[in-house]
Amino acid sequence: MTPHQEREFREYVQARRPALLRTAYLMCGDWHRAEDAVQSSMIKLYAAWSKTKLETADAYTRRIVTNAVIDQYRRGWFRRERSYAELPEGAADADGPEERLAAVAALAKLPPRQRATLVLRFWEDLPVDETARIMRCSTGTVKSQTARGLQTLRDLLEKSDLADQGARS
Amino acid sequence: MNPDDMRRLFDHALDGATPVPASSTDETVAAGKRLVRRRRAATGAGAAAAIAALAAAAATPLALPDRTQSTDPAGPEAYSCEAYGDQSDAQTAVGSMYDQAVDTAMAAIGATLVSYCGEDESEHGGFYFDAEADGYRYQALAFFDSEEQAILRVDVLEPNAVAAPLRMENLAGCGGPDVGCAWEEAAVPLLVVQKTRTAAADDAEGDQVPVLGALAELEDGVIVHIELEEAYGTGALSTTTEQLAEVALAIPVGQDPPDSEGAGGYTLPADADLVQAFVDGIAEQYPGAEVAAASEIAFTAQEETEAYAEGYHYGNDGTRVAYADATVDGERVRFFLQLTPIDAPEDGGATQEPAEHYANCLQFECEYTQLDASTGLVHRDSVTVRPGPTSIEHRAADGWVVGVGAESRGSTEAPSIDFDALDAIVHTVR
Repeated sequence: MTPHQEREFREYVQARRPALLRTAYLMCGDWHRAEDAVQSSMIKLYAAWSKTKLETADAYTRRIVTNAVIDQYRRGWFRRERSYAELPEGAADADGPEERLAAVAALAKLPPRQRATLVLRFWEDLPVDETARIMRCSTGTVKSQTARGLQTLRDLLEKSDLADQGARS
Repeated sequence: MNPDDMRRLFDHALDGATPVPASSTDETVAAGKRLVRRRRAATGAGAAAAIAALAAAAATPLALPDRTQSTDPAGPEAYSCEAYGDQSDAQTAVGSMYDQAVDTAMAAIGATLVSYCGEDESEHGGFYFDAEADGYRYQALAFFDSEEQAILRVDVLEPNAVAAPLRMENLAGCGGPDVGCAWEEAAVPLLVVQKTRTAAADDAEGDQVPVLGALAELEDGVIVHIELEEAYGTGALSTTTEQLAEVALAIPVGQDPPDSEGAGGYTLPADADLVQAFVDGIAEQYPGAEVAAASEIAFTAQEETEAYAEGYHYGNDGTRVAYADATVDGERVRFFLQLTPIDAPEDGGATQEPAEHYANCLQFECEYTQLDASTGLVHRDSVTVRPGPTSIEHRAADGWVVGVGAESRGSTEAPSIDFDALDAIVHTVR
């Protein structure tokens, strides 16, 4: 890698890392694992940087971060997942802890690929075909994973609302 | 739930948190460099001496492992997408030669290749010798920067007891459902294949993806098997089997890899000789100085030095340092010799930017002088940490950065050593 390429890489990492961390966190529910996935992905990105065009770097990076998160599940990290993940320093419960905990708990119930699909579609705002390329599946699979994920979340949040109402009455 | 509900849910989960990365960009870059070095070690050039022995190795009638199974010799727990370096010099030399041939041949059909490892597989960063398959194997993501992304796999297999045509058909899965095979007229026996395969084994939907293949029987019964598997569900490949066959035939099976000595052009002297020249250079510049004996001086990785722990980074990754304590006109001085290999000697020649990059000038005050087209000289001053001068010669042509510096012992002031003397010591070492 030339010094110019290294400088470009450094600028890219500094600019993109916070957003990638948030995406990875939404996919896995744990800031430590998110950091691990993003860091390992950035290292791989460094190795591929000299062959990577800046305009396609985002697509490649999303793919390796997504793979890294899903791979963590395969390697058994999920067994150590905490439902109430730690927040990074300085985070505040702006909307109250209940909303946050309900959101985190609902997301934690989703299978990893469904969860990643929803994050890519609705957090990253990626179209179906781009999500399919990242997830290495067909557009049909993305659509079915999306539908199932949304249905699961809908059911979970309805149950949660009912439970809240029951607790209040 | 609609997209707005989902975004709200994600917002709640994040709750306005601003993540603070635990790793710095410097750490990422350093780890990236280590990964590149490991890959380079696994694919770099080496001696050609054992090639003949490799080609003549006893053929074992082993079938290739099922591609849907893990090929990681250390098992699934070892899956980390990192290169493994369990290769002899001869194997890495052959692998490197094949890498170059495939890169060139794929570039000719418009494909960019980047490293790729599938689930439960190690990332080899190029061709590697697989003892179980008795041949070289390769995997990469092709056409990475286009819409049509595909996984490229290449195997170069030693002959075995099975007749080559039958073996080729077996490898291709000819006769199976959704597998079309055809023998083509060519200078060598050539089998082209079109089939579909179930991708993403953990995906309940089991997407069927198109796969194109070409198998060629080359010199002495060696079989080259190349496959291109559509990667992301677009459902089609525009590459043709004829193009794949051209890539297969471009692999220089049976040829000797380039001699690394010839390619590198320059090899640094042995450590002992460097240290002796270093000590001699100090004594020459400062007659009467007491200098440590060369036999007491050894190189160490900069990461293992006290200076590095204090934040004084002599050079880039791969920098080694040797210290020589001396007393010059009653002043206690610690001289150091630093060596750094240039990752890609052709990158940027000996211009100011790479020279200052290798001299780690972001951390120091530097002055650059161009000596000739391939040689630059950096005069570096450390002001805050371990004050003192360092003269660093960056020779792009021979691929090495050599520097000599000085710091005080027992004092926080810079020693009375000037750049002219350090330049002369560097010259002696060179």
